[in-house]
Amino acid sequence: MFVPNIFQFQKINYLFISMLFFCFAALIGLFAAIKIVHPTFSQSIPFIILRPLHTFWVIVALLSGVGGIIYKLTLHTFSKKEHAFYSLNFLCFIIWSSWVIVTGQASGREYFSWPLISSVFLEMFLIHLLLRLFQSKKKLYLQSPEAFWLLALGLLFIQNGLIESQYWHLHNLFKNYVADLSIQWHSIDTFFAGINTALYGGAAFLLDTKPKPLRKPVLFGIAAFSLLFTFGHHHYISPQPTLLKNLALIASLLAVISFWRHVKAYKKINPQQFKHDLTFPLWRAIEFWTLVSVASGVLFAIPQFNLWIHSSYLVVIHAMGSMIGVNFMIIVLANLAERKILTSSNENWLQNPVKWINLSLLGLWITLGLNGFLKGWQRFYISVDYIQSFRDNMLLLFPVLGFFLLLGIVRLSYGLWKLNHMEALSELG
Amino acid sequence: MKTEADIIPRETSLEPSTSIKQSYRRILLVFVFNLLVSFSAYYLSLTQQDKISQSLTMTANQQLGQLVWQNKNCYTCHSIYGLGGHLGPDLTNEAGRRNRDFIQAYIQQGSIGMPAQKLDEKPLQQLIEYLDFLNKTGEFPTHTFPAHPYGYYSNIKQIF
Repeated sequence: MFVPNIFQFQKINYLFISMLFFCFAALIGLFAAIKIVHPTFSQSIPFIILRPLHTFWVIVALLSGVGGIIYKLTLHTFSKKEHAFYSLNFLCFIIWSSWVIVTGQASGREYFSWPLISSVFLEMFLIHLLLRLFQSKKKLYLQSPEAFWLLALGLLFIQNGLIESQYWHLHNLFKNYVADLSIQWHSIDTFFAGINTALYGGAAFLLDTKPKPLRKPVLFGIAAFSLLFTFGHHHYISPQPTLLKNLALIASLLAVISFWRHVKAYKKINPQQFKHDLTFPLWRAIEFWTLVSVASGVLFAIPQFNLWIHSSYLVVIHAMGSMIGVNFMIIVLANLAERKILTSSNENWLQNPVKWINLSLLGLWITLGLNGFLKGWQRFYISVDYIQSFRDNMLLLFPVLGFFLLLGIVRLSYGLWKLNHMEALSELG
Repeated sequence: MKTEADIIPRETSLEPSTSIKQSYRRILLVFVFNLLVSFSAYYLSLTQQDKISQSLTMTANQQLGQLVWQNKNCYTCHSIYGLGGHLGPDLTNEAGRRNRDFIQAYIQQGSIGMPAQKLDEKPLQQLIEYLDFLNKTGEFPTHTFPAHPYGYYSNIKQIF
């Protein structure tokens, strides 16, 4: 009889799990896109399962990515039993939450669709990552002070957002609808800001060749202020406190400074410098999509524009650009860091999928962006049938572009898996 | 097991004045402030209903209606104040646009894009009460420009 050895979980490759779940999420996303243009498609898989499953698996992919990067950076000081315990917690989080969502019993809250018990499993895993990080603090700090505090803060923010997302279980404290809405938005923003910050910090560790000193106090103050208060721009058109809206406006507009810094970083990329470096397309894609995400974030935070596009597909693409365009590419880069086998013979598997992903994302940006813009037009000026039918027809491109996005992600993941396999073989022989 | 030497080698020539304590201070500062912002957002939201002279507190039935909304995963297709899916319409003011019978029939029987919910009488009434409550909390989307969602633009419009 086959008896699984639970201690094997210590060898779990979180970066590989991350790529796998990006593929799953893209596949479910494609189903959802087809369902949007053709509501009667596959009645057995309703949208109430597809959407939470899609967002949940993206979250699993991102969290695994954070875990993988921390595993790659830190010392192994945990015992086998401890490893097995924490890894099992993460696996329980994935399996139990997926089961709950697939059976149509998701929590019914945006993004945090898993049950309370799954949050406990995830919390255990996050504590483990934090402990690991602080066990290697001195070494990591010397490598890159800026990256260290970003990574540590990112992990703390993820936990903070996770805990806040479960407050609604305290029904008596959340009888006030606006208080519930405020905390809900704050938890979503804190959770995803944490993931973005941790991945950005991780990328700085893996990719920067020189130690990155802590940024100057003024720049730190601006970055911290933006990080803390931008969540309020979701409240512009809901009955939230005015103070939060005003602070959000200031914080979001200060992000122009961040945009300017990214423009400078993008300009600095010299293709000649990367001529023989296969990771150049990934670098360029990360910088490009960071620019797009920051620019769109600033634009959407301008009140007049926010009123126009709020609750439209334009907001979806802002998230999609940062999740796939930036975070996915960072995780791919983390996978490639320290690779021994990375020669020009395996150039195409890396460069072509990145092109596909970039083009599909750009296509989605244009299609969904125009759709959202026209929705705003209908809201403020005139809603005539031909605009609505034009918007509906435009969405036909959604599954087509989603298909190419899926192909790009699968091909890239397969290439990485093959690379792993080749490396394992070369070590053996 | 990995040793310190196995971690990716790189330059570690930092200024001697740089200390890990600075990093800790930054982490702690932002983390504590984030907790404060969260608490302030909650507290300020509670005081909001006095300013707009409208009740934003749900009755027991309305709160149960919110749970029906969650249990049925309505947010996947519909949004409230823009939070949720975009496949169906935003339902913040649906109770103001349609009469109770229409909403009831629509929920129970569905349409091409929306599955029939076939709820029992009690949860159905609770859900409708919840939608009724939401309609009274404000207007979404605001059709006039500039909008006045509870004084926001009265403070900001001078900037533009």
